[in-house]
Amino acid sequence: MISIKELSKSYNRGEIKAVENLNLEVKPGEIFGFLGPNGAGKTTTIKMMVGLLKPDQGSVSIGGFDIKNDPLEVKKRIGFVPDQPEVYEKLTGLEYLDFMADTYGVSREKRLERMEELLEKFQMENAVFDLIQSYSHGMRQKIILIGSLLHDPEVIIMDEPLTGLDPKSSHALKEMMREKCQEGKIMFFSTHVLEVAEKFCHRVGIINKGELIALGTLGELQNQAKRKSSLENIFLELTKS
Amino acid sequence: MRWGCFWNLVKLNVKITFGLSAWLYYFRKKDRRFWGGLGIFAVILISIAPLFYLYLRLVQETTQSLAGTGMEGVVITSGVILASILVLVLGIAYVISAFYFANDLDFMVSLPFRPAEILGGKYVGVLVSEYLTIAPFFIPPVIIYGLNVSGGFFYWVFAMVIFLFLPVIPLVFASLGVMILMSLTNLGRRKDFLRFLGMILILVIVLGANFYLTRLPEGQEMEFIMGIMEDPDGLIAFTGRVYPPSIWITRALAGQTLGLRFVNLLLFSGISILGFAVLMIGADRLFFQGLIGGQEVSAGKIVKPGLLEKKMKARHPIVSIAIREIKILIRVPIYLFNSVFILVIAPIALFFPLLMGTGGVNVDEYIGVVEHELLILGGIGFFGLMALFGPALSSSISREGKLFRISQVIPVHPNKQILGKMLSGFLISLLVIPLIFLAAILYIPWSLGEIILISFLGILLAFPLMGFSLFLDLIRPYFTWQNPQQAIKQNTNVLFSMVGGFLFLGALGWGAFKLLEIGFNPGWIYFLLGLFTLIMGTVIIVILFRVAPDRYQKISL
Repeated sequence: MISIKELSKSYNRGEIKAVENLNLEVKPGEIFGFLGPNGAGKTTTIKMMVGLLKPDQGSVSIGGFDIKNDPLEVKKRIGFVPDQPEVYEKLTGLEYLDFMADTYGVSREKRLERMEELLEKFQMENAVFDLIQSYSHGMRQKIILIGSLLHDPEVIIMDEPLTGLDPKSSHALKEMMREKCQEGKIMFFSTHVLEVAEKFCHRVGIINKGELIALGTLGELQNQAKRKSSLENIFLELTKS
Repeated sequence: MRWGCFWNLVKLNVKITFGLSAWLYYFRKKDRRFWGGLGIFAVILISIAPLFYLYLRLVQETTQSLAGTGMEGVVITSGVILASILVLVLGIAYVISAFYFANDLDFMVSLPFRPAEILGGKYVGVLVSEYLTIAPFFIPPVIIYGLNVSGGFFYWVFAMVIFLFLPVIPLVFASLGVMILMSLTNLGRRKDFLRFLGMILILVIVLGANFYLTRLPEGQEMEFIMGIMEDPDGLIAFTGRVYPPSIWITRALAGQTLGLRFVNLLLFSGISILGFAVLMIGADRLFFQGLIGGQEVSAGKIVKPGLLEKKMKARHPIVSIAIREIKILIRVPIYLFNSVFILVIAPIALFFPLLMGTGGVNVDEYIGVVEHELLILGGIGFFGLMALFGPALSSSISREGKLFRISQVIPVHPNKQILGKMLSGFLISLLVIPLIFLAAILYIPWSLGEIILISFLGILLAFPLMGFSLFLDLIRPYFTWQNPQQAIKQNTNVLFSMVGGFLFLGALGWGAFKLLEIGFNPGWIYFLLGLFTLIMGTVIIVILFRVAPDRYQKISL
């Protein structure tokens, strides 16, 4: 389970509040969409969840471990896909995957099995032997995604994972998310593609100016809004100020 | 060339190179990082002050010893040559990095600029940073000559003009060489390797030419030196053979008449401007040839079944991190050049003239008079020196740049990551062993047992030096570099680790020498040296282990 309590982060000595008093719980088997306009605090929240940023206050715990007190236990349990597909360009795809598998302690047998499955699913089985510097934007995204899944994490946290993926890979990712969710894993991702969130997520949270302004299933959000409408309209209504 | 565009790009590049916009922003926001920047600058000045003082004394004594001979100007010629060769040699890697590996190039190429405008802007960015390189070598002889021999209004004005033009010609040579190299090697898959070879070739040509031009005619050394000494202009002409503009500069500052000085100033500045014009013409034709196209694109060709299993390798995380470090170091030509190849080129550059007998020194005779124990200690110290010359660890965290986030996210304890980095440095330091063998075969009478002793103690000596370098980079990593060269050359941690390391090596060397002098058993000296470096290395590792977890958590990209 992901449990975020009273999480806050500000910049410029408190002048800019990036995230303020965020409370959130995501349960196993759930696909959670994290929405918000540009600069709302999505990436800052995700960075605090994975240990890339230190919160000013509050806590994040994943699988019962606190990111501040037991960072390694949390990191073992998560797979993280950042918003920018920046990766070691001078390694081959396979060298990168081997490196990730080594760091997560994935055995040779398991990594072979998962690599074969994931590389095929994302059509990277032939490109994996090339240097990453020769990859397109989408291919880099896919190799990072595969690297984050090799250890079969309990929680998969993705920042804008669909940006840059071709329709086939995007479909494969959504299928994979469904499968993982059926296995009881948590999928937590931020997106601007509201259609995907609408069709795909069990619950969504909308963050604006650092504050969580809406949280629930699509039905619950429709009930909170003035009139029943699409997630896009709800989003626009809630974030217009 | 549209001068408005060019000027805009120059301003942009200077701001980026020196981080001026960020610095002013910190100033306006009263951010303490503004004072941090100033503090670092002050520490750099203090760090290089002792070396600078030694250089000043050397120049002062040379000027005084040549007083009245009419040859005093040779101190200017030597300063100019030293500064120019440094600009040329260091400029090769700097120019490749700024012209071809900068982060903003894809964006720049898409804008409506001519190749010469983009390259010209970047050239001036590099040029401005070269002023910092030449200042310590050029300014002291100019000031000492001006104060001792001839001052006057025109002397100081000419000196300022010359200072501004001084790095232009060597940097034009470096830029033209690099542009030709890059356009010839823009060949896809193997281009990085070819480019690395090309950089070595340029460097070998520069050093070879230097050696060829400064050697004395065999068998007539004395007559030749006498000939030089009899002609007041002879020493300047001989010294300046390496780089003729140094003669024009010397005459512009130390010529006998104002007219002669003015003509030489015009000649030097005119050739510099002409060189820049040639570079701009060359840039329009060559720059994009080396930059665009030739990119490697994933072939995605069908591979044989079973290849994945065959090529896959499972390793311990520490080993995996060490191998990642080494692979990236070897595959980025600039890193390979600065961190690994320097281990080969630095000793050659340091000892080449000595080994080749330039200046009438016979290396065998020289080695014959040095105590054998000192030769062994020298071999051990050589390992330490090489650990300082190769910035593999002093830029290890900085080189990760934005990808440091991967190190922060993986579930490998920061201390294990530190061990991985230390292991990579250790593996690189093993490269010095073949050099020791080579020296033993060619010149120095070390036995096999002594070579093993030197290698063992040398690696032990490199251990605290590498740990200290890594510590500095961990405390204050430099992540905002725009090109790989900046990650090393604009990284003050590299400089500080060298200064600190030299002090450590100097103190150890002095201690060992004193112990030898008072008749201490050499075996005990080696033992104490090994024990001391082992303790120091362990202390540094313990400090690193204390600091790393907090730094890995707190560093925010």
